[in-house]
This record gives sequence, structure tokens and C-alpha cells, in this order.
Amino acid sequence: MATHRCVGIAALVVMAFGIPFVSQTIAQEPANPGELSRTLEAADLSPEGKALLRAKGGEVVRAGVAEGEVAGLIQRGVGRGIQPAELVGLLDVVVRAKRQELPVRPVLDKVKEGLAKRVPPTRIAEVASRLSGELATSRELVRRAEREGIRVEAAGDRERATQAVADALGKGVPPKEMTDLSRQVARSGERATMSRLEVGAQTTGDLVSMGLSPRDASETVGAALSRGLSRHDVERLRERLGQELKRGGSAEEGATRLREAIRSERPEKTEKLEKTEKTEKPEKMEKPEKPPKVERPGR
Amino acid sequence: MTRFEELLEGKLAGELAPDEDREFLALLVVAENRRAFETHQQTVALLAGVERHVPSSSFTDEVLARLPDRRSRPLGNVWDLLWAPRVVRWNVATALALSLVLVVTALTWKALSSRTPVGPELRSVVTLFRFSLDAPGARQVFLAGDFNGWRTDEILLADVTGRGHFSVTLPLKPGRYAYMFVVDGATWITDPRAEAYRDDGFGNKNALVNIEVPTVANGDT
Repeated sequence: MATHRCVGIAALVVMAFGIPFVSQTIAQEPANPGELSRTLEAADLSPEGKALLRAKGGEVVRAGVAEGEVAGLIQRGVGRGIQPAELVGLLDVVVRAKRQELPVRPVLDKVKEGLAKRVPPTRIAEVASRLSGELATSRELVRRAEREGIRVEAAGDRERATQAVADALGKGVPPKEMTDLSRQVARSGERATMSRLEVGAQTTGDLVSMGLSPRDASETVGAALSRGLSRHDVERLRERLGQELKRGGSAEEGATRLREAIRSERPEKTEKLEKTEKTEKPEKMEKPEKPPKVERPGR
Repeated sequence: MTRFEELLEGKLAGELAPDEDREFLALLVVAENRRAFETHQQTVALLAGVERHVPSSSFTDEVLARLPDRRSRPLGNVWDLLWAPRVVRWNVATALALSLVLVVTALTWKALSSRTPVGPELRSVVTLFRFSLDAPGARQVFLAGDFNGWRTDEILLADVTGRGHFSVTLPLKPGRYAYMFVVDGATWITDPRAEAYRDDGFGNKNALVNIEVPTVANGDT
């Protein structure tokens, strides 16, 4: 009996010391405490303006957005001479996205971009809200894709796919085309991964930007995905379409020629290409923190 | 074992000291003790009259031969371990501590699984990417994009040749980034040689750069 009592007491002592430690471990990313307050103190604003931004900023932080991000946004907005009420409108867009559990990074980036480009705040809020809407639609498509069998292989794959699909929607690809594309990915057996949906959506959007209709773009990408082309080769469709367009004719004709070329490629060839890729960049995987000696000239 | 039982044991064995014997007799005043003592005395008398048999030399072997075969079977042991009823002694403190451990484990698991936005290690690999712009006559060219929070005074491009060919090389993690050049602090320029473009929603076109994730064993991430 005494032994049991000792074990119980020891367990309680461990918990007493352990809970604060674990709580600290699982806490949100370490914030710079008071960053928002310091930013507002230093800002050249009226007390009412500061109070307004303090209230809204606190709300955004409590919703889960890093305090540094909120402080930075306010600092930039004030620096651009934006009125507190207008800044509150921008913060509202961010907090709404966060509360809907959407990826908030693209929304924050869009607001920052608008501020950098000196776009009127109402217009920034409009564009960022539209982006949030696309992200919400995209998230539903991605969730459905997951239910239909598309696998998430790595942390962050779901979010990247959500952003890629939202990007494609933003470029004018209708949700139906994205649904068709995700079903094609879902039917591809072992290759039915979120990473392939991401690259498919991204490339579809890019092809639309090059002048293809959404239907032609998704069919072309779908042909490549069905054929089992690797991620790199799917991304290369942009380049291949560019080459087809240089040969003359309309974008649709170019897409048709490209699809025929993809369909005529032997599956063995695509697999072989993929295997070659697997061995091409091993040094990158072995030294993740050290920049590999690869320089892409870009142009 | 009570004091009476200790003394009773000594009495039956004939090992009590005189003072213990007096103590024992005093305890016999209690009727229950007396009954117990009389019962034990009768038992001793019975045992004294029992005939003793000397076992044969093969007695032990014969008994063992008649015992049922109970060799340990691995599966049987596991089965017994799983299904044999047993008494677990516990106290509230242990149960409380165990419950707290379970709750904290669940919370930790949830927190850790939700704070891995970067993804696998491969996502932390960086690729050096060179941005460049031909802007003859420009005094300064800055680069702004998703990779630096669209700060317009952070990434300065260098005109090494002095002929208006500005460039800068950045280490970028895998992902897709929108960017533009800012010439002389005021003019936003879209990279004319970008891989892809996207309407920025504000009336301009952002250039896009796509940094690929290195291919891994399954060949497709």
C-alpha cells in the first residue's frame, strides 16, 4: 500500500513539474511580447486611432496570427499614411481568413503587396477578400479530393495544394475543371498524391495564363498526369506549350499537338525519365541546410 | 497475527516462557480464545493418534507421473496473460496522474502535428536563383516579392557591368513566388523573362518563379 502511495505521489510531482514544461513546448511560436504595443506607441497616430488598432490587432493575434506579422502590417500601413479605420478593414480580412482556418500566408502576402504597391486600402481589401474566397473554395476541393483517395504524403502538402488550386481559380480556371483534374489524379493509383494535384493545378493555371482555355489546359495537364509524367515533366508543359506556340497556329492547336505528343510517349519512357530524376539530385537531400551548388541563371 | 495467536502457536509447540505462559492463561479468559485453544488441543490429540505410513522410494515419481501434463505453451501463456482475471490495486492519485498524462499527450500530439507547416526536410533545401533586369539608365533596382514580404528597400540588384544590367542571386526554398522589380523607388516592372505570370489584382502582372522540390525516392514530390 505504501509503495502505491509513493508511486502516486511521485507521479503527481512529475506532473506538477511536467505540465508547465509541456505547456511551454506546445505553446504558439514564440512571439516577441509587446511588439504590437511598441509599434503602436511609436506610431504617429491619434490616441483614438491607436486604441482602434490595438483592439483590432489584439483580435487578430488572439485568432492565431503571429504578433510580429500584425505589428509589421500596421507599421507598414501607418508608414504609407493609411488611416486606422482603413487598416482595420485590412486586418479584418486577415482575421476572417484565419477564423475560417484558411492558409493565411497568401492573404497576408497580398495585403503586404498591395501596401508596397501603394494600392488604395479598399482595393487591397477587395482583392484579399477575393483571394480568401478562392482559398475557401479550393480548400473544399482539396478536402473532397482527399475523400476520393488522394493521399497526403508530407506535412504541408494539403496547404500547398490548396494554394495551388486557389491560384488556378484566380487565373480563371472554373472549379469544375479543378474537380475533373483532381478526379484524374485520384484515379491514378499509387500516384494519387496531393503533390500531384498541386502540380497539376499549378500548371493548369499557368497554361491558362499562356492563352489556353481552362478546358484545354486541364485536359492537357490531365493527359500528362494520366500518362504518369513526373512532377518535373508536368511543370515542363509550360515550356513545351511555349515551343508549340512558336511553331505557329492558335493556342488550341498548340495544346492539341502537345496532348498528342504526350499520349504518344511510351510509358516506359516516362518511367525511365522519372528514375533518372531520382538519382540526379542526391546531394540536396543529404545536406538539407547547406545551399547546394546549383545556380539557375533564370535568364 | 494477533498476540493471542502468537502465544497459542508457542503454547502448542511448548516453547512459551513462564511470563508468556501467564499472559496466555490471562487471555484465555476471553471465551473466543478459549474455544480456539480447545479446538487446537483436539486437533493435536487427533494427529497424535494417526498412524504414520512411510512412503515407498518410488512415491515421488509415481505422483509426478499421475499429474496432468502442464508444460508451458507460449500461446497458452499469452492467452492466460490476456484473459486470466487479476486484481489491480490503484489509488486516486495514480489514476489522476495517468489521466493527466493521457490528456497532455493528446494535446502535445495535436500541437506538434499542427505546427509543421514547412513539411519534410526537403522543403528546407534552398536553390540559388538569379534575378536580373536590363534597365539602362536606372539608378537603382530593388526586388520585392512573396519571399521578402514585398519589402521594396531590402533586396538591391547590382549593376556590375555599369551597362544597366542589374542582377541579384537569392537562396530560395522550394515553392512558388510572385515578384516584381522596383526601379528608382517608384516604378514597378514585371520581369519580361519570367517563367510564368499572374495578374496581381491591382492592375499589374506579377512574375512567378517556381523553385522545385528535389525529387525523392518515390520520385514525385
